[in-house]
Amino acid sequence: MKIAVCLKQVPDMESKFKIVDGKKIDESQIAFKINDFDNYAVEAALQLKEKLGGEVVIVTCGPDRASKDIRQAFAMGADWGIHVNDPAVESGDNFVVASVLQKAIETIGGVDLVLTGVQAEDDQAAVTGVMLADLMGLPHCTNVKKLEINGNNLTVNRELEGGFNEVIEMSAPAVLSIQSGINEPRYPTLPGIMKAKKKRLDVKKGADLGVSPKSKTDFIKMFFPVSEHKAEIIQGDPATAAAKLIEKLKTEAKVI
Amino acid sequence: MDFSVPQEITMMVETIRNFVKKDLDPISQQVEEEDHIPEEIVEKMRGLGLFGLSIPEEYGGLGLSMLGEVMVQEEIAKTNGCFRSRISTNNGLGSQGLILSGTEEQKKRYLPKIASGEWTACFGLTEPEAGSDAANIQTTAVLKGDHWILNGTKIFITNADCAQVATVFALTDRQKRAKGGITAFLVEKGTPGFSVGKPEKKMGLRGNHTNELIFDDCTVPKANVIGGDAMIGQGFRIAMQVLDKGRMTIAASAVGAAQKLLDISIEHAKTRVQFGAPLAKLQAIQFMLADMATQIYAARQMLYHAACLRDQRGTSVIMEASMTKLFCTEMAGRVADMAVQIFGGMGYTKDCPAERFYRDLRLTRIYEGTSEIQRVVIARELLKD
Repeated sequence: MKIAVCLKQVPDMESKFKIVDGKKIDESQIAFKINDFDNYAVEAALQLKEKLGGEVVIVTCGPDRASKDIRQAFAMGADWGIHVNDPAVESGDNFVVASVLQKAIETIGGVDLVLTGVQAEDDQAAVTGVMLADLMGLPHCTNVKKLEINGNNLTVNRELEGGFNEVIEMSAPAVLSIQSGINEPRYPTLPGIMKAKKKRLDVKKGADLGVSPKSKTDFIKMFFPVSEHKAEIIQGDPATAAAKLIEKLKTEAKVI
Repeated sequence: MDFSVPQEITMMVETIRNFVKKDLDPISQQVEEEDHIPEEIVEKMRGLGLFGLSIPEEYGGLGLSMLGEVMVQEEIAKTNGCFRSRISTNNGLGSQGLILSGTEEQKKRYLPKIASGEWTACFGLTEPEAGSDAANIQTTAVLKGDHWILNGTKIFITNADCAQVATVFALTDRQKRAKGGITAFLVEKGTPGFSVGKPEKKMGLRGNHTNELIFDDCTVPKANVIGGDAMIGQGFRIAMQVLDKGRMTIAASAVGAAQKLLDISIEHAKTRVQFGAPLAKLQAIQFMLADMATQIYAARQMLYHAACLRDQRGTSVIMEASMTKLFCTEMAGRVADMAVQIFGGMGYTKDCPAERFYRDLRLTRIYEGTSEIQRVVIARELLKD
């Protein structure tokens, strides 16, 4: 089974974030790592490979620094990868990234399954996987919490609100976006990291893939939301306080 | 000097950081109380490749550069010290004699098992009458047919209780001693006449044990002289070379632990409120944090510099290695002291990691050459003609 895993490098959320000119994050203070959701997707792919054979290919859009985390996935056991390193793609939106990923995955050829994380920890858009499926014309399932494969038949559990699961049957080839908690991702071992140095990583530009998509959205600005702290302690005996609270909820907060 | 760090080292450090956070820190207190590292954690350490950091790739290790090794050791020192201690003898004292002086056959036989962590290796030099004065060992080895007969006792041997093979130094010529009279042997667990004593009750590093190695007419095959017959009498030189390399990794562990102490001190200073404001508002606390950070910065530069020097020059960094161990471990002692002070009463309790680091770090100024021995080495290098 040939599996492509889309992997994004994201800032470690414990880093200090500083916005420059309302446009971008100051990267000098930031440590980067594999998007946590994608890490589960890598693990899911590796488990399928161990069971069914085949290969796992990592596909990433990102700057030079992203190669570190592609190689982390190699160190976990992925076989090879494609790194689209192109400032034009980097400045694009999710649609641009999905379009480039589609073309990159096409160059692999014969892919049975495409796995992505449910979302990226940084922009939390949760649309790239869905867009990719649409562009590829493949069936798709989001929030995958469990995955079983029998030949070309996939049985997947899709997580819903409130902890419910729905069970869906579909057939490969397909695109699945993997939810956290589906497995316990392995560590990249130290010997694995040494081996990862020697694995094949094809670096490409958008033009190499014959694609120059335009963003569907305009980026305006980024800012930290202003947090408002407003609390009022209502005094008095329980009966009076309760009456006052109801009054305020009705007239001031207008929620009841 | 250029400290540019290869990508694979950055990746390894990241892996260790995650491992510390997800697997080691959560059981740190449990290990401290039970004085035992669970086997499944040791198994995870084997899986990660932590036992073979310094063993050459051709024998199944990672063959890291000195810079790579100190950076990995620094990271794993940011939790309970017993975990680093568990891997330390395979990467350092227990394997280095073999790597530096072993025959090809010996290397092939032992190093792959040591690198994978299937076997633990330990190092037996210290004796009741031979601490810093290592040449004064009393353990003897007498050749009888195809075997050497060893008699004597080694003390304070880290990982003795879990080791399958020990590098043991014994007198083969009482008159010559350090100058041709000490020989290094490989002694396997189960060798007739070889046993391990009870663990010492130590000040710190709970979870990792030091025991006696007892040799009572212990029969060691002739083939187990490290380096073969040509190296009979050369043991003291081997011991000194092995200790020379270990100094850098102890320094690394001191820097890592000091950094962790600074990190938790900053966090505490920001959250602990006294006199109506966080401790961090008090200049007395600010100054301690500033001193800790400055000293750690200086120590780390020294460590990386000495490591890069060793990578470039090979082994001839005797003085720099001693300076690094001396400075980094003394620095960590001062930092630990300030950390306990910042935590105040809490810092004096077993629930506070600062208390544990304070005890664990005390050893770094003693083992593998005391601070005083480091000064002797440095002065000797300075004054030699």
